[in-house]
Amino acid sequence: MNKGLFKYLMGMLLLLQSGIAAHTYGQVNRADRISIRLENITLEDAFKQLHQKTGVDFIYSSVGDLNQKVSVLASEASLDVVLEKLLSGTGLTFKKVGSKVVIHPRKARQPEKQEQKVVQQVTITGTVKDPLDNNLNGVSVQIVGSGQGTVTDSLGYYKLFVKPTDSLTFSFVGYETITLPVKNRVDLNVTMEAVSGSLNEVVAIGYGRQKKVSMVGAQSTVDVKQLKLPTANLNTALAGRLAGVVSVQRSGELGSKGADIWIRGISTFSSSLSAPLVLVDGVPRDFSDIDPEDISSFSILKDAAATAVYGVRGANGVILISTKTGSIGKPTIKVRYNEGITQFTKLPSFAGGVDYMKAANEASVTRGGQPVYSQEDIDKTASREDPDLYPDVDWYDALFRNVGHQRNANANIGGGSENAKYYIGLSYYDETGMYKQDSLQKYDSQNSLKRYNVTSNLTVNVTKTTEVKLGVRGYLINVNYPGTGAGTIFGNAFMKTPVIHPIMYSDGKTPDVASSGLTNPYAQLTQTGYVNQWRSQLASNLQVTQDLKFLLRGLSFTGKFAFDTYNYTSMHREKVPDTYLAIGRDEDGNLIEQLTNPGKGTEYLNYSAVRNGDRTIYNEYSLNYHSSFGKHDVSGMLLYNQSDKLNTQASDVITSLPYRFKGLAGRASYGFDDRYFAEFDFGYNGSENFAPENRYGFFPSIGLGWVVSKEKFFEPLRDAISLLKFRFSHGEVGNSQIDGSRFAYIATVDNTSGYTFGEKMDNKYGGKDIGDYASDVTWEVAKKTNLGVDLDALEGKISLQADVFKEHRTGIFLRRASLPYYLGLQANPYGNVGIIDNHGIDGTLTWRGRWGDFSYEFMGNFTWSRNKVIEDDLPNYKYPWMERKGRKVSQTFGYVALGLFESEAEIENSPTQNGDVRPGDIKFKDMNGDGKIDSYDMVPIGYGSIPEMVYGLGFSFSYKNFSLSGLFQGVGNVDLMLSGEGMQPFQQGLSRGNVLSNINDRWSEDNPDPNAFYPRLTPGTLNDNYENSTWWLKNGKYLRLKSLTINYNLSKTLLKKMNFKDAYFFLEGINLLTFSPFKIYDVELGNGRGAAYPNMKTYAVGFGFSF
Amino acid sequence: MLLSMISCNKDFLNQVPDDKLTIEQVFQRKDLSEEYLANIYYYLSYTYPNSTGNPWEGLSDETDITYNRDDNYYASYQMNLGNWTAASGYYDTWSNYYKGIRSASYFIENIGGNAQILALSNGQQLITQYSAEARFLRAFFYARLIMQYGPVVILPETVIPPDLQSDDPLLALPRSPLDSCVDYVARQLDLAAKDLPASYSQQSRLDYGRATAAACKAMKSELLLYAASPLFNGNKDYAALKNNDGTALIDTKADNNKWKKAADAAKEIIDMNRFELYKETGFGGQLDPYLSLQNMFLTTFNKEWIFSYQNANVINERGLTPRKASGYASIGPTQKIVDEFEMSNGQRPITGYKADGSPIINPESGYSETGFSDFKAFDDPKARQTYNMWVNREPRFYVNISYGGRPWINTTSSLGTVIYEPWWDGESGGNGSWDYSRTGYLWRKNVSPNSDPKTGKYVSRPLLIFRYGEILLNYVEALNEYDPGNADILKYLNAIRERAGVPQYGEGENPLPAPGSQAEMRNAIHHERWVELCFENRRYFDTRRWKIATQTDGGKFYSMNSNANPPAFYSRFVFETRVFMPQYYLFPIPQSVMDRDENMVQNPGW
Repeated sequence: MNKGLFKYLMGMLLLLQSGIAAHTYGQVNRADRISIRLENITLEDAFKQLHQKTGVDFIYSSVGDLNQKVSVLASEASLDVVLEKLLSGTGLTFKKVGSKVVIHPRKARQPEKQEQKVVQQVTITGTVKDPLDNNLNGVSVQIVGSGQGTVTDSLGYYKLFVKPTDSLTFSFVGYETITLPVKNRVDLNVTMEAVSGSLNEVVAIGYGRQKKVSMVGAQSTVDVKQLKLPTANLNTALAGRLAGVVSVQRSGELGSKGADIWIRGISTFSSSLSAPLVLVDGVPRDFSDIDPEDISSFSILKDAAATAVYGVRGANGVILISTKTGSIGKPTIKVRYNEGITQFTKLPSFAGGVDYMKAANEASVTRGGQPVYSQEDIDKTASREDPDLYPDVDWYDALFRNVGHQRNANANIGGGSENAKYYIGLSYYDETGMYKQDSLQKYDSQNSLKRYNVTSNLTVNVTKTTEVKLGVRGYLINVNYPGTGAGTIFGNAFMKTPVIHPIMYSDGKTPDVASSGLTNPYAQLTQTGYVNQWRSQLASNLQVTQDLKFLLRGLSFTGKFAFDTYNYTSMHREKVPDTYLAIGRDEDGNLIEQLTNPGKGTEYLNYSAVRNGDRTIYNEYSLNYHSSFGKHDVSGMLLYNQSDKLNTQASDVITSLPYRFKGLAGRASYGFDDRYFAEFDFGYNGSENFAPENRYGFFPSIGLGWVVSKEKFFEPLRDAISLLKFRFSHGEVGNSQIDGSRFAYIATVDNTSGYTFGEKMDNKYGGKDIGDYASDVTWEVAKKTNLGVDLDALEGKISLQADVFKEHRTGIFLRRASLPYYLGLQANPYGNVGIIDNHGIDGTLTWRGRWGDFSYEFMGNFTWSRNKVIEDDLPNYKYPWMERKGRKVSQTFGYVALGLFESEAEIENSPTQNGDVRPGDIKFKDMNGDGKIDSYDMVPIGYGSIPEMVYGLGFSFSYKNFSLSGLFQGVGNVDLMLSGEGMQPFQQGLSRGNVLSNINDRWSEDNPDPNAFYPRLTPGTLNDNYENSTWWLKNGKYLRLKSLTINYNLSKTLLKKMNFKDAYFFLEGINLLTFSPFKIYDVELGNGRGAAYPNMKTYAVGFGFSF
Repeated sequence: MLLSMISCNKDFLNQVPDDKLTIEQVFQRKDLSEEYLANIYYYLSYTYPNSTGNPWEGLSDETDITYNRDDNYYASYQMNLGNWTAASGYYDTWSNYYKGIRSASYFIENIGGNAQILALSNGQQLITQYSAEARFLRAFFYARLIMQYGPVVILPETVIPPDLQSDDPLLALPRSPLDSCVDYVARQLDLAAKDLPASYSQQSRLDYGRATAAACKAMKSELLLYAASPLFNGNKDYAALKNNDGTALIDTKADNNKWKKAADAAKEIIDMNRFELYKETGFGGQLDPYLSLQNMFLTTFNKEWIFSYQNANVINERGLTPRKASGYASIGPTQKIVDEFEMSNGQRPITGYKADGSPIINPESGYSETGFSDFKAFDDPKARQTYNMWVNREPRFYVNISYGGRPWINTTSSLGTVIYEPWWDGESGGNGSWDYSRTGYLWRKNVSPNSDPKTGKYVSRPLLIFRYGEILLNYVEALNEYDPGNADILKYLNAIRERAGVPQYGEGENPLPAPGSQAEMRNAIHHERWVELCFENRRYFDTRRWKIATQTDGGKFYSMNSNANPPAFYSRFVFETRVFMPQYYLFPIPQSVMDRDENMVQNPGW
């Protein structure tokens, strides 16, 4: 048992024995008598016990050694007596200030003697507030080094006599201590930030901020420090860090979009329409290209209470990001740099030439065909005597280097005075991919990415009541690709056999078979030119907040204007090499080569370009009210916003119309005694996609919070459990994303294919027909219910946040599917006909503590969600097992594999299967018992490729100047359906198709292994072996060491000497280890065969400092 | 204040342009209505043979199409293996043709009010003509549905609204009996023919390709021939095909009069005296059968043309070009059709097959499958070593088949002469690419010698849907069934043979003996029809309506040995073993169609 816990329990026992009821919090009655017995506990614990007993708050920040051991035994003594006893010999004394007791060093009395010596003494006054503008009562204000000080009153006001050269320290339980120089000022107003994770912490919520303790919605926040990883895309760093986030990354290619992210899974029919709303500094923006160094907070909003204010845009959850602002004080300059190498996490490996040829022959011969390769071919390939004519190529080996390179630098400066604060951040990111290069080419066809970010935030208090904030943020990205896309190159590596032709001929010519286009993947990589892409974004926001306290105390008005532009240019410089195929050698031993693409090769690089862009104007106006009356805490918010996004490179009328949105949002919340909370939120907004009468929707939600630990009856447990809070919310949110189409309420006339008349086909008519029928549709409605619990225990050593949720989404926008086809509709009309249920749990558990210089923290989070199609407007299927209703969204269907046929007799006695069926072929289950295997026998198989379960296990240890932290991330309830050429040997016949290195793990007549990976080989799809079936379904779960960081901080003394605030070195790794039952390729790539640029493993080293 | 902000920019979300085109405007303007009509014509593409979208060649016993074997693209590969259920969704033209039918009905319903056309002096006449074109197209689509699926749903003349409640009876219509389907379509074709010009020759050159009375009659001829054939005429196998209310969909009593109707329908076109077989003459005014056969497709709107599909470049010429010339070299004739062509002396080289699949060679034909000879094909400037199998065959063989070692048809491209090499390591062989012909042959019919995939140059031309040659074959077949011995039979059969440059029956140079009995004549007509109309999307339908697909479409399929290099290449080789089940005579009503109509009944066996 933990020693501290033991002591608490002992203390509680004593408390009960003494039989004295504790006193009401916050009040001191001098006449009260205390009986207490404390033996050899730390001073800090003693104050806590006394607080428990008396309800008196002790203010004791920065008063020397609180870990010194004290003992006191008192019976029916006054608090003064107890404190005198307690503090005797500690060098400390106490002073009562209002209802609080301030502990300070005993020498505090001495300065009175010196007062006369001070010539210039001034009076300094000020107000101390929290970030929500609440006055903080009871903040200790101390003059540094003097021991003098005071405490703020109920309006947060303080007054002190100081020298102009003094500095003041502001400290308060649960808040970060601030020290500020007086510098001849006579008023010094201070905003104190709560300690991260504490209940007073102010967190971002939809259109506002709130104290954590008063939150009623479900939301998770990630410590932004954890996002500072050496990766190009911020969204790749999220997996496993936040409860409620489901994320998969299907490509590691530089410049690709990174990971797909869903909040609490998928609740509509398409995963792409389930993407959350992302707001950066309050404005809808993409976040993947922000440098994590510039982020100050990152939260996700999950339930109706948290998202209702977003109305029709909130149903899929919301991601809130804000960038850093400066804080009052001298300029702080921070620099961080790292450099690393990257590697593929896992590439599939291909079979060697001889194995390939033997397998190809077996596939043909054992199905009654002729061998494809003669023994002579095989022998010559094995001997490698003539790699031009008898090549043996590992195509991946030909394409990829062993390591890539990565570099990241960031510098920022922040600071400010009371009237103006600023932050400027600059960063540079640079990564070079894994492709091999042809040293003879004059151009660069590497996959590489360079990114430059700038972020600046400026806050100016124009008057005492007017605050102006300006943020300007932008990036410039330059990505380079080979002239042929990664998908094609990887695909061709799977298509080319190892023995078809070499990478390049020894005489420098490019090999390829005669084909309609280039198919040699190495040539595609190195000989087809390059693509260079520039992307840039400039995002700006200007915000003015006017305190309206002259109208009503606590009322303020905020106006916000944002203007964003985005530009994309992709320049293609492409060419085609001449390709040859060697058919033998002449008498001199020179290769006889035939040009296989006559007339198609080009020497020069062609030019073409693709351009894209948009601009967005966003306006927001809000009234905010917040006030406290005694124990009552009331706040309200009413907000109007609108945005207008224009595609500047639109190619047709519909997309050229600006994408518009407007709406109202409101919030009313009430808190009593930080114990009971109630909140009502609403969004009233609309989507242009719907008819005017269906355009605006009202999305209300309620949330309730109850801090049980504040209740009187909870007091006995409070030592062990400092916070226990329940949250409940229920409400509606909408989703107006309708399948990418716009203006569903208007019938359209489409341009169709048309027809050509005329003798010479010279009288061409375009076609016209009805496109979509007008449909009276509206948004999807998600009814969400959430029940959550927050718990802090053992002095904050353990904290838990857990939520169970349920979602019932109705009116999902679908084309009506049940209309008969003889109607001949061009497209079935839309309807709000779909219904999907989703439910699940998510939670985070943190355990932190320290032993002396060693501190540790463990974090675990878990997300599980499961959806179910209730209505999809599809007619009933012929057999119940084929039914899509009642299954997961996008459920995979396939045959049930019963194993491999063992004999001809077994085939005879089994239901008829399609095509050429022999022993060693997959035996399927006849679901409907009709004696034949066909698509009516396909049943739901597997969980699908999006995991139902995502979890993260983080840890962090620090000892003196060293720290080690990391995160394991895992997924479960997920499958891979293997398919495709290469993964399924000879799926496209014997003319093409690589095979994997595990090809020898197959059923064959010589080795009829019933548990082999591959069934009997097949030249082409002669039977149903390669249909979707449980045979090819593999468990896709994995546990991955997503990040690991070792950090060394320079010692304080050294820092002082160098005049640094902070300096550190670190080693960092990403995706270092993966544990998965699936070993063939990077399991995160999902279904198929892994023919994609895999995720990257990174090893980086770096340093950072600030001064 | 906030509320006032919302109200003051009320139009913020009302930005959909009022000037967006509506369907009402389409039917007020002439050009837009004509575009709407052009859109209906587009559905002809589901009929006609780009070899990619339609299975009529890939599923027939004369062709193998296997490249890109994804289930729903060249699904004929899976279907030939027997991997086929109603739920497979293969070549679901049901939904596509019904789209065309809806568009046509909507057009007929609305075109009458087109103010802009009515204002023209010939406005009313134009409206009548356009309506008739739409009516023809609608009938055409129904006819093609009947040929593929059997009895179909005949819709009311008024277009069914799209937003009916799900219990509306109009959403649960049953299939109509075959005879009433055929009668309805034939009547519609007659109706349309009345309002249309007789043939393209009465149209302006810019209107060539629009529906004509001849096109209506040709469609009717084909449909009535189908209805008269054994598949639909008294087929007892379909006794159980009944609607839920007990209505029999196919009459099990044979009616020989249906053959008469079919013959009469074909004769109507002959009697129009507007069409004749296309012939070109060579040196000395002699008929040149090679050029006649080849250019019949390339010389557009010659006297043989009745109706054509006009959207450019739909024939897959690229699929018929060697890979070295940037082609896909993939659409392969089977050995069966190669065997079917006569020798130049009119003798059939192969009279049947032994149990092991080897051919029974007709000793009188002079045919041999061993050895090589120097042989010059008609379009080759020089003689080449040619496998004896391909020596001294009839002109239609050389016009229709590219075989290994023969030059690509385009010898004037920048590549010069490209020799087609279908063997394993050849330039168009299987090694390293799936773009190859598994049979070792390529189609050559209707490929222009001037098309060049490398430069993307294709000689655009309409594709024939109906030609006079087919009408003659329709006529003689139907006539032989209800009036055997009628002199017209030999007359028109010999007309086809004369143009093809093969000896005729009982007349002309080196005549062959005329077939004696009705059955012998039937065999001769079936053979002639296959050889003459090969690769024109007729064989699939002929084997079905004759009810011979059980014999022709299942079992081992032979080709040259494309998995080997010469000399092993030059041998018969089983490239595929096909499955033909009795239910394959008709396509299944797609399961998705079944699921959406409670009164829909499935075809037998599916």
